Amino acid sequence: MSTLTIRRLSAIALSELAGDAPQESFSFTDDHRASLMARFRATGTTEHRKLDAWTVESSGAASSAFRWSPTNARRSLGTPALRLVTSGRARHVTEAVTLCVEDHVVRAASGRARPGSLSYWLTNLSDVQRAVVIADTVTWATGLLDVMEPVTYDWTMAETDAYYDVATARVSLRGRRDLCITTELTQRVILRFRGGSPTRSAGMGLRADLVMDGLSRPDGQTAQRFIGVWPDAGLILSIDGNVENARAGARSLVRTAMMRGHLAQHIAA
Amino acid sequence: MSSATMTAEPRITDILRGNRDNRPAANRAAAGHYRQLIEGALENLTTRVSTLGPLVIRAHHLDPVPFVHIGPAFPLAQLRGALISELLRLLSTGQSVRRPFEDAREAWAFSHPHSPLHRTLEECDADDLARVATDVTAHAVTLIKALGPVNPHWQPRTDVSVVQHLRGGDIVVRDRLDLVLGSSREAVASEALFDVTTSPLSSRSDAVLRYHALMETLRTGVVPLRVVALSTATGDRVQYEVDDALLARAVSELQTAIITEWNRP
Repeated sequence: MSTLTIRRLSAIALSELAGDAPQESFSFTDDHRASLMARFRATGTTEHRKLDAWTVESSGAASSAFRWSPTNARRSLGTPALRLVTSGRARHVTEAVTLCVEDHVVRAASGRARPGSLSYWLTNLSDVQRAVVIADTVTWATGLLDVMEPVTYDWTMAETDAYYDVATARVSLRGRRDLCITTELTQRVILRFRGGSPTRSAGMGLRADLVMDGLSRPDGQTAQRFIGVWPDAGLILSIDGNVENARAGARSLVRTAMMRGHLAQHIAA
Repeated sequence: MSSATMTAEPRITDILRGNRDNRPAANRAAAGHYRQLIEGALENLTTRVSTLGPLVIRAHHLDPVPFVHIGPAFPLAQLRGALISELLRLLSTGQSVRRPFEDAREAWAFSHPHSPLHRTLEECDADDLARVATDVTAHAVTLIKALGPVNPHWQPRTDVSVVQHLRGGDIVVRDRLDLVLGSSREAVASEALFDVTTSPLSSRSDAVLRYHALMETLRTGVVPLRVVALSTATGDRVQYEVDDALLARAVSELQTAIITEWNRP
């Protein structure tokens, strides 16, 4: 069943959701990938479309051009910072975030950053602006740590987001994932941290993330459970990595690609 | 509900931390009870007069007198409050503040590029700007003197957003906490909330503190340790230990605010 579970946020609830995740999960085969490719191609547009859970939740609405801001930098800085904290390489979150920011600045100063990158953006900020970025990131990362530390299972920060390019369909998928819980019985339970409160289409976004995570893996295996955490609202939404959720997620991605195509044609006209 | 109003002396960070040996056990059972109490009072609401989306409640709705934006000084006072909150964020990360007005203005413009208050700033002539600058600097000096160093081990979080949906999403209750120290995962109550205001302290600021405590309880499921407010206008501070009496009063105030706004045409 493509059931969406809603719980109040607590370490106990997270531990329970991780602990009783199903042991089996759906895997995308080559046939599934080919079928998905055909459906994306059938949406009929030559525009390159970049899709993620947000575009699915907003029904393919056009988003403005990406610009770095303290809000969207906090996840990119907070994730490696939490890796430093959890591995004992930083004494506290503030130190870890400051180290990450300095690392980006050094990278840009040594000519290893491309224009438009986070490193490049951070280098061009004043000390005050950088302090705002640090404050925002510390708040995000501390909130995440506060939720996760009491969880009874092992967890690690995700190394990267899930990327998948649909061959010949000019569609790029980006599935966001913040951390992975591993238990004795299940292999992978993926968590995503979101700001604000879940919208009515948050379940669709989670299913899309589940699909993109599965597609990005060579074996095509989806996570046993995909959990969205909204700390601002104190809520958790979760879905299982079963065939129904994978199918619903794939459908919503194709539908969003179609809407994006229509939108591009409308703008062109 | 125990409280104390002080004139000066102890630093805010010392008040927020208090004596670690005297902390009560973390109360993880109360949040559900208070949520039920709030929801219970909303069950019998009639059809809402205004049907423009969900009813959004914020701290300023706790004021029994309708919140009216009047007078030419109001936007400047709002701007001053926003700049002082921004300064608190800088201080909490250990950033040294040498030019309070310029630093606060730069930080605020950077983190709130779309705020309608930019217009207020643009409309200031040289005299207005000089007045705002000295005003903000005076408030900043009070804040810097009163706050004390924020130890990064206390897990400072600034501008923390809280949002709660009630009555199946018909009502959205929002809050922003200026500074939160400590953790909700400890065995003893450890979270301390700090609110900075550029107005003198009043019964309204007490209600806002209770609202913060209730909202954080609903968000984390754990009752915070204490709430503290500082007025940068007078240097006065007030602190409350968060207990059942305080939260029960916050629930009652929130219910009243919701019902008043619900029935407002």
